[in-house]
Amino acid sequence: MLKYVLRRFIYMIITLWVIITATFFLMKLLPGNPFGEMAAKLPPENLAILKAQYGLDKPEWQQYLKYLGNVAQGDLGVSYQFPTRTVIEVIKQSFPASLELGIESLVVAIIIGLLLGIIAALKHNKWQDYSSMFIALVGISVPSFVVAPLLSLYVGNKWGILPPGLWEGPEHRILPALALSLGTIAILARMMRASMLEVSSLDYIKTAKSKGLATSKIVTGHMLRNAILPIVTILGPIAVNVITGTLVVETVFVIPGLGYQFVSSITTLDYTMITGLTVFYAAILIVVMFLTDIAYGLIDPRIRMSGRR
Amino acid sequence: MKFKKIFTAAMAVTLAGTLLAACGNNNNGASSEPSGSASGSATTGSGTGSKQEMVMNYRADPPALDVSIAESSASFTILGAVSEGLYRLDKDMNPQPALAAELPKISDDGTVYTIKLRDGLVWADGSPLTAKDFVYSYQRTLDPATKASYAFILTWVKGGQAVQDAKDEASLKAAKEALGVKAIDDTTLEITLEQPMAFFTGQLAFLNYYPQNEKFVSAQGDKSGADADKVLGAGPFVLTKWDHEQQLVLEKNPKYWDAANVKLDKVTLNIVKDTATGLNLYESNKTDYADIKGDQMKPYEGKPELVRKSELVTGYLNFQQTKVPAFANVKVRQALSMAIDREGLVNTVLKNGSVASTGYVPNGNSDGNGAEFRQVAGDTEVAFDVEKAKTLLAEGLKEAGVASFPALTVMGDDTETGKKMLEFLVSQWKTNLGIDVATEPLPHATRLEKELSKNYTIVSSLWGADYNDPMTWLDMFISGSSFNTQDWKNDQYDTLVKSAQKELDVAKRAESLKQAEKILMDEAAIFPVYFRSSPFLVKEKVQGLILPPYGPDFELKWTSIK
Repeated sequence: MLKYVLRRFIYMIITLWVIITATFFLMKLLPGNPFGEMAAKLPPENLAILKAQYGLDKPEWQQYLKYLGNVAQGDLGVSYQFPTRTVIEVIKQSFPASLELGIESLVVAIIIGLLLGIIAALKHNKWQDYSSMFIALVGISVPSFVVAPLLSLYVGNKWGILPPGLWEGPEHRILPALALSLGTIAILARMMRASMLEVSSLDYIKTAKSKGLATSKIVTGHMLRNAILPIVTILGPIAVNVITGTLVVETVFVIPGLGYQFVSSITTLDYTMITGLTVFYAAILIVVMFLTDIAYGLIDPRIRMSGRR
Repeated sequence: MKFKKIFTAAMAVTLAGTLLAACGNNNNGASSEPSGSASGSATTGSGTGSKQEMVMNYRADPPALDVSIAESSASFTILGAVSEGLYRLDKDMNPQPALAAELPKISDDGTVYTIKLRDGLVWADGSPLTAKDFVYSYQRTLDPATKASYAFILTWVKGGQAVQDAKDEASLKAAKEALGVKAIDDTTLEITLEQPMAFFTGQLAFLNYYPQNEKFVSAQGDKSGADADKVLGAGPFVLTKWDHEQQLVLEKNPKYWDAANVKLDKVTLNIVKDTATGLNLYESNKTDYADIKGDQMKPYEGKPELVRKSELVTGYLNFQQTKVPAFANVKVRQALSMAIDREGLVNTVLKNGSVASTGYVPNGNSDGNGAEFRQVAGDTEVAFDVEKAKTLLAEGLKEAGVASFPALTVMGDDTETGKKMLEFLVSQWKTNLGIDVATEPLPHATRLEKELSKNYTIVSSLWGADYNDPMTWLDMFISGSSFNTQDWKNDQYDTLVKSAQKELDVAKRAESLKQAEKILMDEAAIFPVYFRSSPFLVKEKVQGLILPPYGPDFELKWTSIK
């Protein structure tokens, strides 16, 4: 197990390095310079000082090596857009909201999604099945940039049931979490249904049935444990997706998260912020994938990585 | 369980919502008697007991609240509430004594300003504010190490350029000492200018001429203006909370010299970037002020809450003459300009209160001699005339010796209105002149970079006044200037603008600038399209909120809640 973890850790470092390198050089291909309008107003000498301060006066390979060194020491640099803030500070400030929203929507999605999937499978080809899958279909086909503004307009403004935006008390969490979870609910429901159906036709379930076990026992004790395995595998990527993919929902519900920062860093050519946030998101993705693999092994003893003892 | 919780939360919010709605109704009822508009008289704080608190949507988080470094209107706006200059502009843009006790005494040649400060001024932390704080501020902004992009505005002070250009410590120190700003005593400041400037008293109301507290600023180092506790001002409000990208809270400064006339106790600014959600917040009474755009304005048309602020901003086109040699011909430029229906653009595409341009210097901009530039100069722009445009184009192309254009592209910002405008321009050229032009919408930073590196054929650009004088518009098209990206050159124009820069007689200077603009327009060196205007929603209970045409987005000092 330890050997496996260690090997995975080295892979993680290599992956991160590849991502940093690719981002760094691709970003430099973008036309423009991060100082924008200011560059034209500043006298050339001052612009030179500014560039030197950010290390932009040196050749790209030197900038790259310096950046790698800084990242290794946990320093992601100072933002260009906000000259008084470091990228780390921006992450510390903005990420908690994205993370919280992501986790909340994930919890909602797992509960509702699995429930819908189980119901659909147990009532296969009955009206419960059809209505669950209809909900799932809607969830998949209506993207969050349609749902979110509609929720804000109707539930928030026209009916006045919940706040249309801002990030204050618990009541401000409900609409964004819902808007963000719809797509995930749909995916989870469909996967759970398929997986349950597959399991339910296996021999050991037939045996359990013929033994005269109660349906509730069969479902909880035998079907769920096995049917949930494929769900666990995709949960990792879904979690990352939900946590990082909050841009639209954040903008619509006025949530001070990291999604908006990421997009604005690209349009304003905030070099340090682009690379910094990419590294950060990549690191999260890799770590979550790693944790998923371990969790997978814990749930299913058949796939322990170290294999034979 | 979870469901129950959600349900109770929903109930609570619904109840709160109804209560808020009820309050709103009461307010509406009370406002039925005749009253001035939002920009009306500022002294109506009759103390009816209404809570003096206001919530606003604000579109951007200020990058840094530091007097020297600030360069965005968001910074100008917040610092204008937190601090103050010698003067503060009232609703008619006239300077009123602020930290200064009275209007300046100006020497006969118009270059030396002697200004008496109020007695007993203090910073918000209680430390005394003296004339030395102004001297420190100007020296710091001009110091090349500060890298202030607006330092050029301080080079108007005698010796300012020398500080900017200082190469080493010794020459920097000498230049700072020679700088034309002196603290005669604690309450007397003397500013010497390179040359007379008719608008300088008004300029003293702007951020770049605010004082700074040396002890406080130097203690913050690189982090000056980074957080609420790293900002110190002497203005009507104190910044008590700043959650980046989320919320800023301003509270009344009890130590402010004019605290008796500041009505608002608290202003909460929520950073809201999506105008649709902003509108939802406004309609559900979660905010008293919101940006609005395009079709969102329809339901509010004709209602007093819809306020249009005309800005000192002109949208214009540039024709790059090196890349497209035909553009070097004046008739070709005139033809392409004449073929655009500017009225149609502002009325059918922009629809935000912007008006068709009648020259380059926008409505409301001063002429540097006490009058409004457009009033004096009149309509200098070519009129929309399709037939004449066709004739001119044919003649121009013949003169230029080319049969047709190379592939033309009009580049612009990829905002909603930016893209619509590009489409409009392209369809007008196609319909009216039969020319095919492609559109190239780009993110702002990219558009700017390509424009400044002259990598375009036609560009749709915007310019906003840095100060209220025609020079901020006209010096950018002197040949060789970094904003003269179209490579236009006219010796007479250069002479007029350069002589105006040195002219001591403000009347002559204004005349030269007027002539210069006429040349710019006659030659169709650039093609101004519209003078920009921005619409806002302001609840009727908000009184005395000023929306100035340039610099800060709003002025809160005289605002009150009815």
